Amino acid sequence: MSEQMFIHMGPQHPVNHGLWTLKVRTEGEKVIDCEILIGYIFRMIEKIAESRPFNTFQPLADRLCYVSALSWEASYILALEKLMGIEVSKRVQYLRVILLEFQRIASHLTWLSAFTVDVGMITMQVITFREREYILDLLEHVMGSRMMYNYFRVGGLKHDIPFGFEEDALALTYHLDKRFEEYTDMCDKSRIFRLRSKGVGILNKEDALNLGATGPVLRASGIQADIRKIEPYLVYDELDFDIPVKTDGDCYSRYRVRMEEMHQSNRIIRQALEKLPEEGEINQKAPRKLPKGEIYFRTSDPRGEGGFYIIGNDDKIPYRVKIKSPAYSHLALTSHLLRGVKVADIAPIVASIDLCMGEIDR
Amino acid sequence: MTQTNTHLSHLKTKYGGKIIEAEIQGQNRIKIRVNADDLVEIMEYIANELKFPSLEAVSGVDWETHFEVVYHIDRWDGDPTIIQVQVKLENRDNPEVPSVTSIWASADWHEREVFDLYGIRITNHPNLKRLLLPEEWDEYEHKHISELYPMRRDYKLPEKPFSFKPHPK
Repeated sequence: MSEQMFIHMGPQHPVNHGLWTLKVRTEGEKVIDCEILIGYIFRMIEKIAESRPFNTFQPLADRLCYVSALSWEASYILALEKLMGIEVSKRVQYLRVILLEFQRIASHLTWLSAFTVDVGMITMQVITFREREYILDLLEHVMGSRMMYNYFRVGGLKHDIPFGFEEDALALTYHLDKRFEEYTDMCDKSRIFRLRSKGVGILNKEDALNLGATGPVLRASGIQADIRKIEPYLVYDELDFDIPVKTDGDCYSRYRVRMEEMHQSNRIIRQALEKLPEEGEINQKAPRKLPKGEIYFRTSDPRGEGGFYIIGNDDKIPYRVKIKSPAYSHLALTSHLLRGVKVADIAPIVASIDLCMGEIDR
Repeated sequence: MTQTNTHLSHLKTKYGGKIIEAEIQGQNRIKIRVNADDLVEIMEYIANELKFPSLEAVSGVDWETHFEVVYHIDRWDGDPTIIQVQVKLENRDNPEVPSVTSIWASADWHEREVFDLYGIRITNHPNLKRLLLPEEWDEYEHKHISELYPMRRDYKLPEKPFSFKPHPK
């Protein structure tokens, strides 16, 4: 019917949070086809990991994702520990769970800020950052850095937590719970928010599995799956929490799943603080060399399922390190979601899958 | 008998002759090694009959004498089994592996990455071009073929920075 038009979104465009290009072919207001170009911040992190001793790669594992550095660091360290067969003390495991869940909340708050701006609620942008700042203050108190932590070690943690951390953390979870209710009210009662997110960017169950969706995106499409339950690592099997699931598969479901996940994270933190053992070795000795063998280890990253495929070759330098990034698969499936939608819906759809270019380009 | 063992015995009874090596690693990782020619047939069986609906990752490994492509396949129904399918590619000069995009759509970008960084050709891929490196990377000034594929073990960083000099056409 009408003539076709090409729109270039990116590499610098408000729609894409990070550097990537979205080439859209439109007919009127409708998207006919799209192509995604990535690689603007390709740093060859996998090659760097294969050319240096395993313990010196850890700061770079932090830099895979600047919003949830701790979860990538944990993923790498846990994979190495599994490969070496090290069992760390219970105290360390509980502390790791507490910090990782705080990191998950901080990451989801950043996402909420970006998502609400893209659907047209500018108010939320700064409000979520206020609560995120409390979390970052707490994490800084423990690890000495706001975003790039470098705190976990093979065999434990860099040092013990500071005095008074438990009380601060517990108080913060109650504070956050109150704030989350406020956010839910603000979003759900906003007509613009509902109009622009409900029924937009629907991903059904079969497509979600086939296109490699994980984490909140998969759960919003009706599959109750989380690595923390399927294949528990750390002490997640000793803690009681639910996996939120929604069946609609649209942007609104993805928002609901993440909001409920933050509540569940608070539950986990409170239980872990209660069960935290007083005694336990904080940093035990680790071998210098990686044994011969391979491991595919996956953790529940805030964005989905993060994984490391590591091959050791009886050397301190790993032979192969493959980083499986959830956002990589999610960006690939975006082109499927965008076909047939209106141009105005591109922004909420892209924002709802929570991209982080650091881990996509690697 | 755990679920992992059941999957492995199903695979062994159906494709006993075509699976070169099969073992269980850790608690729930099935590791099998197949030939590149049988790959699509076995992958179809894994996806449709064993009900593994999701492809996690495709990784290339350079073993200096040969290449290997490793697939991790997953099911999201509470069963923690992951099937790790390995394909050994003996021909180092012209490594080729068939595409599995017809079975799992998520393989698209993963396979392009393997092609991009290792130079392993994916046959029957719908859109095989470079992904992370620039599309015109082959036209840059390179001294040696190994500079084209940076994840290969024999890749050496050039002494001076890359310059973009397309060939005159």
